[in-house]
Amino acid sequence: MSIRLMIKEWVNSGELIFLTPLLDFIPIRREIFVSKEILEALDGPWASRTDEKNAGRARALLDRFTEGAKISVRLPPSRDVTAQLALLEGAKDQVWEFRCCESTPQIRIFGHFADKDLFVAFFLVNRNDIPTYADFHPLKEECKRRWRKYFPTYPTRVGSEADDYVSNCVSV
Amino acid sequence: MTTSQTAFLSEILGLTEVIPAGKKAYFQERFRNRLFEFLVTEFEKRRADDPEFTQAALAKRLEKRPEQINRWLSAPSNLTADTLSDLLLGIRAAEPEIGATVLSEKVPQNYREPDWLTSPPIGYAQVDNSARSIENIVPVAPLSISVGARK
Repeated sequence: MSIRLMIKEWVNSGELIFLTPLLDFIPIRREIFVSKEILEALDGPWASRTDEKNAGRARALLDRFTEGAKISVRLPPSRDVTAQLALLEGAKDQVWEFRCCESTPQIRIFGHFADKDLFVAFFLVNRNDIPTYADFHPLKEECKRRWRKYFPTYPTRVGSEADDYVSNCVSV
Repeated sequence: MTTSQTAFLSEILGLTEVIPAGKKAYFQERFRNRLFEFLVTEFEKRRADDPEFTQAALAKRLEKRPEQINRWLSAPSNLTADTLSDLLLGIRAAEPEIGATVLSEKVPQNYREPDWLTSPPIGYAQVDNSARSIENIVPVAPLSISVGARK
């Protein structure tokens, strides 16, 4: 069974959701699947106007990913803080984060690449809740745990440069 | 499934209703992203014509710090109109052409989810996604504004 069929099984069970772009003129050139908790955070209802705005910004970033738009990608050893998508330190774990840097607080969406241009996102966190680099560790472990739960026999995508993961990217 | 476009755009297309903060934020972020793609594409075009044109050269031309140029060309940012103008002048001796498209008049896509998500199980029919590969798709114009060379 391919990783796509496995994803399809989780979609059929309702555990993963294909994030259809909000605007129906947006073409689908990459694919992102999200957990129910991410979808709820994006779709609302929200506790505050700030949460609502942050969800809007995060959703726009994810829709641009799906659209195949140019996206800036950081791979270690680069420590560029502006990248929209970053492979976290400890690259062997292959844990990635989408960075919604314009939101306040910044939102980080954690997940793994299942294949090139195919991302599975498990949870999101406010950057304020990750005060030090050490605080990334439990988040990475949780991300890996969820991958193992959903895809126990499948490795994540592994590459050596940004283009191995994402088409039409700017490596920063 | 997720929110439909009809629901998402309801207040926006109403023309007189208050637009919710989250929807304004969505389009603000989307616009920032499109501007970023536009600028990076212009920079790449210049580099294709002139491989010696670097971010450092652009910084010198605009009398800006190289780190600032790097920030603008590394990720979407809240560019001012003045900065956008300066960058286009510096990169391509160009200025933006301004335009707008009414959202409700944009042509919807036929595919709203991946083929493989709805296709029959393998063995029923073979799924060929090669034509959907991003490398095989001609990029759409990244922004409704374009550049014209300075006369």
